Amino acid sequence: MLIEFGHLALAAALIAALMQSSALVLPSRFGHLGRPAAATQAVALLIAFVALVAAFSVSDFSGKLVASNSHTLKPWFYKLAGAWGNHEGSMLLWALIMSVYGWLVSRDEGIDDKMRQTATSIMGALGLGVCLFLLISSNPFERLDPAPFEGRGLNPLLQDVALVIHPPVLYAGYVGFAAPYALAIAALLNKASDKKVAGMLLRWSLAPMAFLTLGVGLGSWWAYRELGWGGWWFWDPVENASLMPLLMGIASVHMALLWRRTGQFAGLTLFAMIATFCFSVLGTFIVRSGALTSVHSFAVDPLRGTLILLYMFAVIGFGAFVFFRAKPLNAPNLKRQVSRELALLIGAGLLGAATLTVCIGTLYPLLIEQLGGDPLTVGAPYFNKTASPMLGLSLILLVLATATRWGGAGGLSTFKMPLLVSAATGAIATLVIWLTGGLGAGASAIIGAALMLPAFVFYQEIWLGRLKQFGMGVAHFGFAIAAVGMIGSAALSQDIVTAVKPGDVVETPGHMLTFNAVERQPGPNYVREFSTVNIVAKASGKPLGSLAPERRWYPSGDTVTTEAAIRSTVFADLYVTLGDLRTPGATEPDWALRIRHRPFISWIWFGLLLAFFGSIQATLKRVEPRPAREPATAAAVPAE
Amino acid sequence: MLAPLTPLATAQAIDVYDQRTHDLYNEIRCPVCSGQSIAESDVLVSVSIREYVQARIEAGDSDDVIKQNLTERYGQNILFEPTLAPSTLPLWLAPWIALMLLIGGLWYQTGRSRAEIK
Repeated sequence: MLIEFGHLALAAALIAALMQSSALVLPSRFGHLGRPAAATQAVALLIAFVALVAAFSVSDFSGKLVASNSHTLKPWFYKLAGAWGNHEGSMLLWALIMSVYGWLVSRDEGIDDKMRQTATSIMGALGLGVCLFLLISSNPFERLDPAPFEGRGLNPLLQDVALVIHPPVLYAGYVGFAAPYALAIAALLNKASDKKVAGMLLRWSLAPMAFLTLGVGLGSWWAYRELGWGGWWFWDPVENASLMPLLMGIASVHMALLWRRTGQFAGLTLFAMIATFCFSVLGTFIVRSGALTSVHSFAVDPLRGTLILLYMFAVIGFGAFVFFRAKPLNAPNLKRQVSRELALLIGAGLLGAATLTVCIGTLYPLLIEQLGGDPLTVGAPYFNKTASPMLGLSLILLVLATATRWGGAGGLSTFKMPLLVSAATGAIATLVIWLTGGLGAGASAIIGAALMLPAFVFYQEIWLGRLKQFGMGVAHFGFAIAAVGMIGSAALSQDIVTAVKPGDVVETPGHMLTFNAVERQPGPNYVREFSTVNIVAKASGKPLGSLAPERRWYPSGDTVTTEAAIRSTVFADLYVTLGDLRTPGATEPDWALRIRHRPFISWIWFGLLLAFFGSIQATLKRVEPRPAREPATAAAVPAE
Repeated sequence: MLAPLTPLATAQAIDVYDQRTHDLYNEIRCPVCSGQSIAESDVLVSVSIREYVQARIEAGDSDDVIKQNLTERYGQNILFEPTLAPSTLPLWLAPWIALMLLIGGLWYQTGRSRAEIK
């Protein structure tokens, strides 16, 4: 019953989306149909989604999706999350989130009527595509007859709290960029390029950027804790899929700021906004088509891949067609001098170049395979040599930009105080870490230098309040903190791999670890093997508690997972995983212990969390429409 | 205590190694996993590649020779970093082209006076 109900609601959503999009082709007097249709689509998809979650919560195995992705033994929390931990359910969530954004756009009184109607109908067309895709190739409401007595479970790797909230948050970002895409196209179609449009685009792209930042952060936090490899970013195609729209989204937000302030760069900003959502859809294709295998590739059906590809071509093609027909690339001009305008432009440009590099690196193996070449892998070393330096440079530029002035007033002299403050902070931090933290002079200097970034931002934006926007300051500060974590963990990480017997003591840079006998215990739906590892501080000999690295065997899918035990402190993580028996069958088994020392790594997630809250605060400040400020210096550029 | 033989106890062994070996392991992809290096994976083929790499290191081979031998047997796919070859030239040129475009675009959009635009 529940399942038919959901199915019906999905069909209703399709019809509503059709109505919502019809304003694109119908005469303008039908434009008012968009808003009720958008609301109907959102409500219908919400009903469908709730029906699916309900079917999962009561383990209704007559639903094909429930049977293949749930299990009665699963904790209730993960049963609910099972609804979106699979291809069909997650695409339904995609559709739901997009329809909610569409509904919000249709209600935004800050946008002028014609543009809002156009944007609403574009959102309707985007939703129509996803609803069609769901019904044709990924129906979450398919029945199974006869219904099995037991489901086939969920990938145990996905039984994790971070992954329960990861997809909704990620999608709130990813899919949210549909709104600036629709609005940018509406602006082009209605030939609107005044600064009010820039403010509106900014307002609509901040929230997706915030959610995508959090989503990417959650994903990497999950990978760090759950995969047991001690890394937080692997340049895996799926990670790249979410990184591309994030980088492009950040670039387009900064371009919108530039446009709103100078009245120039409307064309580039609109291009960036359209490109961002194109990268979202490209990411969806990479993740969902199964073209590149990973934990996420639930879909192996070639029809799905083809349909997503068609959808992607439609999104990119429509965007490109409207953009190039409108020829909005007016000839903006900036003086070649130190100014905030130029810093933002170069910073955003570097983000764009990095996005392009990530895109080519991610798709290159696919391309080579299609051309019949020798299959190859493009992994971390490639991206670390190409995209990473661009991103680093962009970050430094955008940090420095906080000290510049619009129009270049003050020139280089504006850097004097913040540079002094951050250099002093860096020097003091280096000394303190060197003398008390047990790190060498070189390592301390690396951390000291990295700390100059947040110090600079903190002084400019939070202490002096120069950018007059508290949330934005917090977001920038958060990214700078995350950068310290990235630099610190990349430069100072250490790995120890060792074979141990119960009672053995292992020495790490700061600790002595005592390995105790491995025990075996049944868990809720798995069998666990774990050892208790006692930790003692090397310098003081003080006991610091214990860690229990663990391995789990899930009988339902016959898979083994590694559960890392992590001792997190502000300055470093101690990350211990239990490896396999070194000599199977021997009377006295050896175990492999992988011990990873990860300095400053938790700063990454703390920083990204700050960036999220900062961006959300900045979004909320902009939700109330306010009269656009008209700076006396720059005159609006007429629409072309 | 450890009496019932579950798959936990039958998996393959891992070995103990130094920093150079560790770095090299991290450049070699596990051929049957998704995105894991042989340092992180404990499946049979990873273990045997690790044994091979360790044996070659002990025999005095350089990293490049070891990688070369591995690509001959498993294909380019075994390395995380594609080597520079005609087929990977576009890949390695792409970031430079992106940067050139950026610098060219910046040059084009800056420095002229208002009068020239109109």
